[in-house]
Amino acid sequence: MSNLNQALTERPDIQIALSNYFLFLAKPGYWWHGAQKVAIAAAARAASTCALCAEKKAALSRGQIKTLHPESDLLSPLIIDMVHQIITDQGRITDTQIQALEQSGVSRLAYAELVGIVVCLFSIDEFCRALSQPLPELPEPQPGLASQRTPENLETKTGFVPMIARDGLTEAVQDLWPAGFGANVIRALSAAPDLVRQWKQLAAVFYLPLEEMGNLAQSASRQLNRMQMELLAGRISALNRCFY
Amino acid sequence: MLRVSAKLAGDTVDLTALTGACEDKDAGVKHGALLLAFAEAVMSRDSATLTMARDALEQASSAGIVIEAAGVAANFQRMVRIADATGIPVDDMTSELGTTIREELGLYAFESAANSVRKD
Repeated sequence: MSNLNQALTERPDIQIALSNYFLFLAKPGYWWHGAQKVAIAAAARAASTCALCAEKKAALSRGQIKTLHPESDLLSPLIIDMVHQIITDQGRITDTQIQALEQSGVSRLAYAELVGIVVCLFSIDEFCRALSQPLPELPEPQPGLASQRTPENLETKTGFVPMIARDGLTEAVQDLWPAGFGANVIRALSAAPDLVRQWKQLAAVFYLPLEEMGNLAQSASRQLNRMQMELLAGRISALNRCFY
Repeated sequence: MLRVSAKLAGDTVDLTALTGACEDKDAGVKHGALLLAFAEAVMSRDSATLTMARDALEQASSAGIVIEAAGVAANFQRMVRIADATGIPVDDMTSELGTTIREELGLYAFESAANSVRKD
């Protein structure tokens, strides 16, 4: 066994978080049923090697390339196009595109859930790829209908999607963020609360639990100190041209 | 976060490392050059470059640190996409420190700056 594989066995928390995500992925969601969620994840996984995405990314304006991604049984070309863009060209996503999705029948609530499905899957895949580990198999979808449940106290003034107001946590979602915290990046997916829970779980094993983010020196559970973590995080963000 | 964590540790960090413009390869951070090379290798999507960067980091530190570094990179691959795909603005655009750093690093040139600047 290589040193890396041995070290991975010493982090069972990571394996548990990944397994939990794939169990979650298979189940019906808020606006997408299980098979659609798995199809969204499969589309996200295919984006990194998509030739059309490379062409669109290289274009001065994405609108110059009129070709759409081929549709699947479960997802329209417009949805697949957006899933791929979240992976390959996220900095150029605009509200106009979200409006077009809305007009095609994908509500902003459904879009928020889609973003969560895509980014969590991508994060897991990137972790595996960074360590040259095989990508986990996508799960068999479970039957059932989307719940169409919406949390209370959504506001629509912060970004492209509705999100729970900073001080709007009700009992059902009080675990999403500590009182007084509620940074925009935590609230961003809160229209689909289970996706916030999933990304928090992944963040807790890949980076730090939310409760430890105030510790800017050295977490007892990590070998990297906070400066080292933030240097890496900052470089990844800059290479992604992320202003936030 | 990087500047504040460095200040707390009593160190000085060169923030230009974030945009690849740092002359001191370590940028004032232990194993900084190797961590930056690992981040760039992850983003390059080139498996040979990635293997080389990962091996170099492991030799200088440990396999456990490599796993943590992969985790941090994977985490921020997710976070930047949450921010950009949902169009959220920076929470506080008024702080002088934040403004200075964004100007120094040329972040206003990023397309996604529009999500924050338009809300000012």
